[in-house]
Amino acid sequence: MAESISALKNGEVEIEYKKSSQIKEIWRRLKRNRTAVVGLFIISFIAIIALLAPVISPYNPYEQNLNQRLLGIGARGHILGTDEYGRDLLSRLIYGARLSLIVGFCSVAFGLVFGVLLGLLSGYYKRLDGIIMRIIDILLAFPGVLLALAIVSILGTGIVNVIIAVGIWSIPTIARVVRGTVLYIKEMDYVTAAKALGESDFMILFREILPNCISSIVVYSTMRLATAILSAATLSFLGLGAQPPVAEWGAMASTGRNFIFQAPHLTLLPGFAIILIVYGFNSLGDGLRDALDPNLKNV
Amino acid sequence: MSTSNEVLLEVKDLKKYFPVKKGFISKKVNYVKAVDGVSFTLRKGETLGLVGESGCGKSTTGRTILRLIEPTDGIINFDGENIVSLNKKELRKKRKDMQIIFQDPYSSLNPRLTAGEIIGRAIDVNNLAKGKERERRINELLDIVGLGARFYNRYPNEFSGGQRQRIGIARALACNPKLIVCDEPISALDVSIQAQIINLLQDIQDEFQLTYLFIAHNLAVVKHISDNIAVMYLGKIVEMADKNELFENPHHPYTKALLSAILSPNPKDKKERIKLEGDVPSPMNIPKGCRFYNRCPNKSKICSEVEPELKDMGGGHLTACHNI
Repeated sequence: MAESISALKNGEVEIEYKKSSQIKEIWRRLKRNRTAVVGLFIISFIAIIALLAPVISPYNPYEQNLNQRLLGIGARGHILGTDEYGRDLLSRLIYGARLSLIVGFCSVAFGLVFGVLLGLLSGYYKRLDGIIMRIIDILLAFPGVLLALAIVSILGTGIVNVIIAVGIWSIPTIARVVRGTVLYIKEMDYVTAAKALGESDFMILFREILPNCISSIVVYSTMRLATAILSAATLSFLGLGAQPPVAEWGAMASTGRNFIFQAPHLTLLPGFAIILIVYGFNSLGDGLRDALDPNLKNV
Repeated sequence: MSTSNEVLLEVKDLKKYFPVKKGFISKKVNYVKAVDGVSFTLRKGETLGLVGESGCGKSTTGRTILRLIEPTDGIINFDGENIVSLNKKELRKKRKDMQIIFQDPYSSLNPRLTAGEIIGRAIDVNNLAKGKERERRINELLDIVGLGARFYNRYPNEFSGGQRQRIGIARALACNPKLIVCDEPISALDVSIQAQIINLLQDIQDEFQLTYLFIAHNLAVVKHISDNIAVMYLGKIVEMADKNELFENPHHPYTKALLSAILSPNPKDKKERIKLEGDVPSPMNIPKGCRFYNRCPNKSKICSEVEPELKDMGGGHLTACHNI
């Protein structure tokens, strides 16, 4: 780049504008948003814990020690106490972070693949819009977690099926969000210009429209991660997701419920972990929404 | 401006009706007749100014000619080929010969691409250049529109409205078009910038032998840049003539009213201002007879019965009025 400038300007000194990376700009704006930073901090904290689980967890999360059952917080050797089988609660919480993140990311990724594609098609092609949106209306008509519940009942219990169920449940709303953005973007003059230049429908969809939908997709999927983790935990709580002895926050809260009077921390701490991760993703999503708008500079 | 006699664009009886749908099964209940039988010819190197009030179908005409909007009916002969009869693939190959410049410089550039990438994409789509040649061409185009190669890596939000419009022009120029439809390219700009853009458009027209269809509602600007001017009213051309002829000797009462609305820089200049009564009829419900009947100051009986045809009043001055 620098060569061609000097060649063109015959040695004349020109101020060179470097391609300021848009990611850098987004990061700069995100840093100024306090809630987003808090959210990002929480998420990174949990992610690091999940990543380093085998290194940092004091005990094997599945190791039972029936001599030390239902220890309270602050017990010797078990900072957060133990559960009904004498398993270390802190270790179980650390391993549970792994599962929550995996379930969240996988199910949202699953929903994104289909949701974005459906949204793009129904937003761009008027003919497909009616059919796709009616199917989505049907999926949306099922109240909340009930759809995921129904899917899990059909597929059977287990963590993979929870991922699929929560993923399918995410498709309609993701498709709606993408469709709305596409409807707005496709009326932009630069899309008309692309058409006038001879770009094909495929090129217009994936090179002009999709990149401009990314910000709403990123924001929505961040928020959706929170919902996905929450509903996966709900399914586990209801006994349809992770099966014992797997360390999963929802399942831990569920089994802890039986001992809520003797050892309330067995229910409260996994619940608190869920709240923390959901809050983290939600506030990060909020901050991203502000930071990702390319037309808001220096705000 | 060098105008040859070779016809580049010939539009015959162009129509665009937008269906109005209602109800659950999307029954077509009516049509908005945005363009209702427009015909004109454009010679190579010529500029035709298309004027008219908002909603009269100027922009729709421009975009229909490029088939950015599919025409309902009519013939568009461009460079010896009927654009309307081309299939999708043939049309895409033809597209590079006819480009468009937009009114709104803010929505006409993809905010995710740099200026260089925007122009580069125009080159890539039509396989016009590769590698170093491509870079050279992009820098050359940036230079032509007066921006310079140092703006290559900047994003649209780092430019002003006038600079954005220049990028839009560079993009249109990138594939060496023959015709450029200028869809109110200056209406959204400051007055001082308007002059710069107009001059730029005239410079590149001379340099690259471009033919313009210049859509605008500012008559003074249109007079400055055009060779011929067509006045549109409710989807039809009501008068078309050489620009000087049209300004000095307007025939149609609507043209007269439009011209009387131009402000004079001389405050002592007391012109007779023709004020039109009433509103434009809805393009969904066009009245029988002359479209201008309800607002016309000198109507006669025949006007409400028969729609006037566009007739040559001598010297290529076309007018659609019964009472000339």
